[in-house]
Amino acid sequence: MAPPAADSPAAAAPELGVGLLYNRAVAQFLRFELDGLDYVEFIPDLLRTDHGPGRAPRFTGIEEQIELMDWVAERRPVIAHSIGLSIGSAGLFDAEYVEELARWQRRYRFPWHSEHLSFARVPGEAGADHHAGIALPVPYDRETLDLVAGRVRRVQEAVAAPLLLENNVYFTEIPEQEMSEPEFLNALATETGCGLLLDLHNLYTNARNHGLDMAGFLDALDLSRVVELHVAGGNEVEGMYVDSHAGPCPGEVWDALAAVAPRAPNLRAVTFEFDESYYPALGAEGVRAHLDRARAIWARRG
Amino acid sequence: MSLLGFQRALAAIVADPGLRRRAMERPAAALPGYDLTPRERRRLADMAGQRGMALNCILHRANRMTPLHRLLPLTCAALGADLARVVDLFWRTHPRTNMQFADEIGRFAGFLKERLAAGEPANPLAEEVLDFECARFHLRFTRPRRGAEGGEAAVGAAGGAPALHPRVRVVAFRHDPERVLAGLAAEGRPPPAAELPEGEHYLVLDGRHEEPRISRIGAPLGRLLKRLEAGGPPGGDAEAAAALARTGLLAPAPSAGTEARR
Repeated sequence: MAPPAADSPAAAAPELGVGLLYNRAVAQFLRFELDGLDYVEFIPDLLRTDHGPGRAPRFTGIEEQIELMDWVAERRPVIAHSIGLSIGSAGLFDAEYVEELARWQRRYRFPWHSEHLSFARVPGEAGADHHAGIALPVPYDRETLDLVAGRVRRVQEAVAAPLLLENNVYFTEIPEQEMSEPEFLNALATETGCGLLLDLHNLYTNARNHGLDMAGFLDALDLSRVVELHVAGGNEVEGMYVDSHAGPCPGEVWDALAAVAPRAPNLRAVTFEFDESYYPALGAEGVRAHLDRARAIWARRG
Repeated sequence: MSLLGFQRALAAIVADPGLRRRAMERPAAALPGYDLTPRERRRLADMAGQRGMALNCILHRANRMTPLHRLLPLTCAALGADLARVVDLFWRTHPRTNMQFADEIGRFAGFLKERLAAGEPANPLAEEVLDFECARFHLRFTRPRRGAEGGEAAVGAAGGAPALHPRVRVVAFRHDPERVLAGLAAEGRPPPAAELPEGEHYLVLDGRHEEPRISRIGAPLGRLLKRLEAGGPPGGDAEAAAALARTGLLAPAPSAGTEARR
């Protein structure tokens, strides 16, 4: 296995193993089954209420959630996986949000953090921004690359942990794009030194909905930039497949994990994601089964 | 920057199925006022017509519905068949959201109260159930850090008048709250109106614990506590004042020299 590139965030990142993305349904699971996890990933946005830019205070902690994450962080590494930065938003960069990320990093010392390569927040004409209600794709053009690269650098300067960007799910394809998604991700990682969080279920969702060639995508992507992999499940809505995290992880995603893990020399973690609404059906046994299967693949990666 | 115009237009299409239809049928005319390049106009017209745009619109609405279902489930149940129409009107009245649950709940609660006051819909239970769930939500999501409760400043009117503890809420009901709330929770619908005679009932939600503790109190005391909650004097005689003090629901008196704040 090739050593990490000098500018790769993985150069300093510890190898963690297999973990899950925390949701409120698994609070009790964590208390009793933490031994089965190498780390826990959390969404900082869910640990506090965001009153909006310019409000004072901007953020109010949800103490019940913070207390649990403090307890976990005393026992396991935690990784931050944000959902609210909207790094692809044109005309909007939320410096307060990034400062808050930096505070979470000082509190939990996460070895890296991640965000989605998409946009959801839209600046309004009168200044206040609003939310699209769903993460939307950014066009893979030079203009977007320059925009996002600049944002990545600002985050890297503010937060003392490497940043990974996650490949997006999109239900509408943007025509006439200047680059393919792997080309865009490779260029972004090369220009900024950021890492990649490769969500295999997002990839599968796009393959299923748009005929994307998963193998071709993985051949084109610079897998040396991949630090973390996500696996999850979904379900069909109105004839399309949705990355709802509310279904079993499909066989194609497990196959992709088995194929990618040995080819990603700087891979440090594999995270299982599921929505809290799915936990009653999944149960602790289902969570354990997914973690065990991920761990078996992790152990075989070489 | 035209990318901004593109994103504004795309977000608007996702939020408005009617705009989506217009963008499909008359792309050149559907998006006036957006700063778009010809390529972006072609992109938006193409995307509006993709089957995935219908799903985007559905997911947008589902995500906007999530805080209401998750945090006001009994209110949603109380609205019954009116829920879809009320929520649709709410979204048309408030097309923009910051997707912060607390803000969305507050905005919806204000909107719904106005609609109920106007009798649209005519629903005798929805407002009191809404008040209950909003109070419970507020107490759960503003719980101070463990060990910090004692540091919360007392609230007191000038002259040391009694005040309700800031972690306590009082909710007035015109119908038996236990029957209403239990019926909604168990059956997803309220008990039949004929089984719910009107009266004067009060629930106290005490947020000084892990989970808010809910108890029922009699009408005389409930009225006094509601007046305190509104910031006014409780009224009543010495016996009423003694009863108030015995509830354990009052804010501790501010210590001398400290400024009371909420």
